Amino acid sequence: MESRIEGTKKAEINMRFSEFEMPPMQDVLIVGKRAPIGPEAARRMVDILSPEQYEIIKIEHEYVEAIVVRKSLLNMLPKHKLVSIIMEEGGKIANESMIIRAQINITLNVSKSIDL
Amino acid sequence: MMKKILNIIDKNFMKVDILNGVRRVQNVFYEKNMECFAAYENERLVGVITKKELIGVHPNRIIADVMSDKYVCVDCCTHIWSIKEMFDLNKNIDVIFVQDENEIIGFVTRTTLNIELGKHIDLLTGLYKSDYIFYNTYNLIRSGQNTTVVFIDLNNFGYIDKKYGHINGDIILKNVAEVLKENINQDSYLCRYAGDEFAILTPYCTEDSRILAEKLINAINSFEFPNNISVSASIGIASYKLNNKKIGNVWDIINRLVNIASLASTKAKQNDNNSIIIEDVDIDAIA
Repeated sequence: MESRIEGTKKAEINMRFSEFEMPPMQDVLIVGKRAPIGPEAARRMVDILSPEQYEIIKIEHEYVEAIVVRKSLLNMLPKHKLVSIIMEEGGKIANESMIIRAQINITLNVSKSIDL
Repeated sequence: MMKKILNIIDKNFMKVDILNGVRRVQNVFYEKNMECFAAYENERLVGVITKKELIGVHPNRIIADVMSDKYVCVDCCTHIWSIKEMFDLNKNIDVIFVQDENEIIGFVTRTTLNIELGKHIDLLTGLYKSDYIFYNTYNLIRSGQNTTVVFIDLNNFGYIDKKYGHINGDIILKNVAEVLKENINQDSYLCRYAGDEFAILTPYCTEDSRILAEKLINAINSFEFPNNISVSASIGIASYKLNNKKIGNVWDIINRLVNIASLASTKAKQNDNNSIIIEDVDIDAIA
């Protein structure tokens, strides 16, 4: 008696297209002390694609070595305030082997009154 | 006379580019036992990598992300005592690169230097040997300060050794070293020159050096040595000051200065009335 089970092999292909981000990192990278890519390598990587747009800020932290920040953010906020805000949240979730990408939106609300 | 850094450098180092991967350098470190890497960017030295930087770092990183800036470069003719001063002044520096005509030819670490300096420390008293005084004399002369050598010779030490034994003799030498150390200021340098002879280099004029010598003699006389052994010393003093003249051969001047002080201490030893002899001679005039 034959007991062979007939079967077929299929390959399922899914495609997903999206636009390549320029540069391939967003506003901030938080680089762990033992991360596979160091801050200088990250900066050089984006420097080739988007020259002189990012700056490395070395950090005194248990796990974080540095953060790489888009320079335009530093035009809107003083460096120490921006770093403090990023590290307040990012520092909680970072570990020393991670690289965390962060998107930061800053909206300045200005209201002025003038004498008529 | 004095050892230069060139004589003690370690040539087992490798030049790497800052964009090289850490994995490659780690492999060389483990396989070839190489412990120092000079990091270059476009032919320019920009960093150093030692065992400290390589251990625990992710091998995927580039050199630029692990290198340290804790290094300095010196010329190959720099004296080892200058290197000691550099390490003492810059506590965070681990490596000193040595260059010859702008080309790095080797490096020195604190450990290498300490091994070398250990050869210049007298094991019995813990004081430096004469090389230390020669270096500091060289510096004082070059800086145009008073340069005075106070040469201290213990009286009848051979007799003490024979009468009380070498163990007691050694204890006396250690005690005398302590007494001298306690009685000089930070601006002076002390060494055990040889056997029962010590030398102090001071930036004082002869009169101030005589006051120091009297203080030393009194301190030795009043110290209680083992078995109540009576110990005394004779001191010879010689001084030199650069008088707006062009410096000739500094080593020659140093040799004459030390020699005159040493002979003055011998004179003092032979003189029953005076245990301190100051030789007031023009060293420049001596051929």
